[in-house]
Amino acid sequence: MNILFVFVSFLIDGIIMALFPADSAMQSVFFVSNLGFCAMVLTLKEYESINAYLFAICWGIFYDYFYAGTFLVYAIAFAFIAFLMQLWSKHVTDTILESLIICISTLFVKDCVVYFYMRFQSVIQMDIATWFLRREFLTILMNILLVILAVGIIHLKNDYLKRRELRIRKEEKIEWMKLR
Amino acid sequence: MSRFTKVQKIIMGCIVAIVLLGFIIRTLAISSTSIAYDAFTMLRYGLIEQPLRTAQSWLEDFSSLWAVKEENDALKMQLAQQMQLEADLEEAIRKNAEYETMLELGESVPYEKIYANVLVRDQELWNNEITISKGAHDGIQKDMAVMSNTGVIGKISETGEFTSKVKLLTSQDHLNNVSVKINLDGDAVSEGVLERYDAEEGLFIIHLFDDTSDIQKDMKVVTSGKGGVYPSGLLIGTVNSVQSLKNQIGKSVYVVPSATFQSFDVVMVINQGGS
Repeated sequence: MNILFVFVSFLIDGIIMALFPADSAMQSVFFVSNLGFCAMVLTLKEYESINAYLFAICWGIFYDYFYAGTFLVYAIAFAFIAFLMQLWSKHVTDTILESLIICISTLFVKDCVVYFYMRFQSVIQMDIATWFLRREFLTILMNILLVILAVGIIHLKNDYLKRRELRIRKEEKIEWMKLR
Repeated sequence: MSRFTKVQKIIMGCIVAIVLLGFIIRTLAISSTSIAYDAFTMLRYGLIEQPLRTAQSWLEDFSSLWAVKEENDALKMQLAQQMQLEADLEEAIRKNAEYETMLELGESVPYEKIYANVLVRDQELWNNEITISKGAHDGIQKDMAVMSNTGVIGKISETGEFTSKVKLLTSQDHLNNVSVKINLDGDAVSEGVLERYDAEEGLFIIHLFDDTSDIQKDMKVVTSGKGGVYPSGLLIGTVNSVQSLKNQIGKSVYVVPSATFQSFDVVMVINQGGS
């Protein structure tokens, strides 16, 4: 269910980016939809350490190949985010505000990691102020809305799973006599 | 006991395999965008972007259909008006040409001219009479000669206050005689009278009083002014043929009318009293 949820979120990202294409020349302000990333971050809290890293790296490779066209850049960035989530998840709850803060902060960290890596490799020459003003600012603003949507969907998903578990439990017949 | 579960081992194996494959492709440097990247990009393009753009263009085409329909209706109306405007233009050009020839003709006529428009030309009286837009108020009097831009067409038969009726030379009324003459060589003239109009041949029939004069084809026939109605020198037509009369003095001359009696919108009334 979590894999399906994150996959659908990435699909929605693809649809949004097809409807609102990014300016490759960075001459105007644009945003990059990160609903899939936020969905992945919110789902990472449910996993143990190794599973979380594997989960993040898989989605990082997926993003590398299908969206970014890079090699291992996002895989490493997502793995780093998984590491951060392992540190923070013990201290946060499931409220909307905390989920929002977690998602936006990890999104910013991920974009910074990618930006500095690209600058280090001389793939881009843009200064940080221009990058922040033209790309990052609107990305963070627009993704706030998407994070709220993702949190809402996760709550719905969790409610659905709980109801399903209750239904299964109700259907189970417990023979008291055979309990040990 | 292994630290990793079976599923974790499988996933790690897949990740390593994909990473190795990526390294191999990059080191082999097949192209700037590797085959794997091209395949994944095409997959994303085919699954997401292409359907979205198709749907977008469908919606744009559908919404623009309404605008196209409105534009089409407006253009059809303009086109219909265009044809009317072209017809109006042709009519204006024709009238302009008629006015110009009328003015040129008017300069050669040494009498006072009163210009008028043709108001009515009854189908039943097509060759007999017309109604013009000037009357007694404008100085029109009975029996004044009337010309079109190509020649004499008739005389005033009735006058009202603001309109008048013109009896045409093509009328079958045998009382419509006109005194005419044909200028011969030198100062000689041959005089006659315009008796009637042959509607079948489209020719005036003129009776010349003498049969000794040598009448040739294309000689000009003009009014002589001796009838007391038409002033002298107004062009009637040109000679088409000559026929000798039996048992009678004189000749019959068939004259092609200079005026076109089928279509004219402006006429010129000749006032002999003014010049």
